Amino acid sequence: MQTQQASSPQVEAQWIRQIAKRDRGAFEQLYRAYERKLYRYLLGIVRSPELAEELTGDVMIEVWKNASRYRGHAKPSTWIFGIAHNKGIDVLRRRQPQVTELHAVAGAPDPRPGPEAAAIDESERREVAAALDALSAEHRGVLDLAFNNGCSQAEIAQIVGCPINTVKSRMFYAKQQLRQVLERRGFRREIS
Amino acid sequence: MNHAKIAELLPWYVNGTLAPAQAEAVEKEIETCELCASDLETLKALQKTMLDVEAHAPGPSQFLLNRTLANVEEIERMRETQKAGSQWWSGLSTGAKAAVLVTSLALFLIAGGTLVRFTSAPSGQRALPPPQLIPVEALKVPAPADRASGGVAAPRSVMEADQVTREKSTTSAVNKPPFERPQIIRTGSMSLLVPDVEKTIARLQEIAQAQFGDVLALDDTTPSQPGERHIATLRLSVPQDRFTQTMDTIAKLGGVQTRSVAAEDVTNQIVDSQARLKNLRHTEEDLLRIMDRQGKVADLLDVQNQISSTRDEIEQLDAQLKSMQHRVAYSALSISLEDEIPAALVGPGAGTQLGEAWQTALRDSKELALRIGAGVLRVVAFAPYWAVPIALFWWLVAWLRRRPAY
Repeated sequence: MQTQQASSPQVEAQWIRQIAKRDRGAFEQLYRAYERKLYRYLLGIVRSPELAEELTGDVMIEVWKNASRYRGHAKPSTWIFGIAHNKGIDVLRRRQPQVTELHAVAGAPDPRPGPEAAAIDESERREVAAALDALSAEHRGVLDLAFNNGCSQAEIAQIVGCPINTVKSRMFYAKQQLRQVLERRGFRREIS
Repeated sequence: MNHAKIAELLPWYVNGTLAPAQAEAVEKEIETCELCASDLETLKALQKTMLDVEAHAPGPSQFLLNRTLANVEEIERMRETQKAGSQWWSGLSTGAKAAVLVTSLALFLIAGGTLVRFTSAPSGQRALPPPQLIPVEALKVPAPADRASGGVAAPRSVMEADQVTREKSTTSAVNKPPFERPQIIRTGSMSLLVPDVEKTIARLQEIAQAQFGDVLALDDTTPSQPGERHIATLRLSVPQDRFTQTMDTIAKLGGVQTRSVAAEDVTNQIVDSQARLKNLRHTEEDLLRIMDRQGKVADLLDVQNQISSTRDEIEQLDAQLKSMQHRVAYSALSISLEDEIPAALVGPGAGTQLGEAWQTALRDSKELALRIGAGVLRVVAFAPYWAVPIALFWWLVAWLRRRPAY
């Protein structure tokens, strides 16, 4: 599998313009740049690898079909993640998922080894991944967009379709809940 | 800017997306506020860990790109088809377009007049009711919330639902199974000359079972006349990945007379069938949703009929798909066996001949005894016919002897 390619917004915008002219090569480059990011982001929302993969393909198909509508007012990543967010949320609404209550997870007995194991990198990674999974789709999404995809407040607000203040509050609660979940799971090595 | 405001900005200071003025304010605050500095370190560590988690997390299937590209090609193919359909109009000159429009208008008016004449009721008679149209409202598909920014409009009516269904069929490549290799139906046939057909049949059954397959059919023709050969035909089914191995094993059982292998690539057929199946299931779901809505009885009956025909199509297609997938998974082998030595060359021994003679004699003796018994019974059965004349004759002879001579 080819690795994800690093690309600048300008290059990506150029790819989208080429895609609007039915350039398959540009589409493939854009696909490779976003495939993993989109999959991981969508996985955080829908929590199903199969569904996340299907939606990743759907998002890229939407990009192909609507490339001519991209005016360049937003960064390509904002536009593409916006499509992904809408698709993911639509699926969640149709599926009526059983959202895991954060306090329920935090209150559950810890089946994992004690804090000593937290010193191991792999274990630490697993703990954080599990704690992220315990977050709601909205909170996970904000953290993901900010830290994994480098989106600004305004961009996140545009992607998820809410005011900037909501983005800030979601970030605040996401951090707080993540910390609580990690502490509850016996993750003594603080992320601070 | 107070502490709370600065704390809100910290995550975006960490990811480097703050405006210069905001970043400067954050830096000033960090120098003086230990809490903010501690939060900043926490967030930096969190970002680092999250990036590390992401780097080690699994990505999508490696086949997704190919599926998406195939999907794109399908969309383009459909687009080209639609474009070709509209080109005839754009290819016309302005005068020709005007002529077509005028002709169409005239035809419309003529047809309209005809309709008016047919539907106008004579005086004194009640006019026919207008044709019942299915109200669009009654057939609306419940639409998920519109998310215009994503460029994906939710279906609003039956026509739009149909359009969406068609789009689903074009995007169905996303749901195609990740085929690691082409889906091929393999078939093979082999004819063998073997020393003993019966033993070879038993051996073939063992081979089929050892390869996790089975014998589907057996046609065994034993020779009835001297000079004929023992012939048998078997149909085996073996997993495709053991097809070649099985053929090679069978070839060692005797002298190979003919051997052939055929392959048919059905990848596209399977993918198309899966896409059509998914599309039909979506259509069925949409129709079921429509059924849940209130409407006129006639409309609901119409929808009910559509559901019924859709279900028929789904079941038919599902069966075809399963059959095709089974034929891909299991290869069919047709094996013909023939004795190397004809039955004529192996004559019966002396013991066999004596035994056969004894059996024939017994059979004949029984037959004779039966015939004699049958004859006796026949004589007894006809006694009334022959006993009376004999008795009369006896009485006549006796009377003649007793009569005095003159």
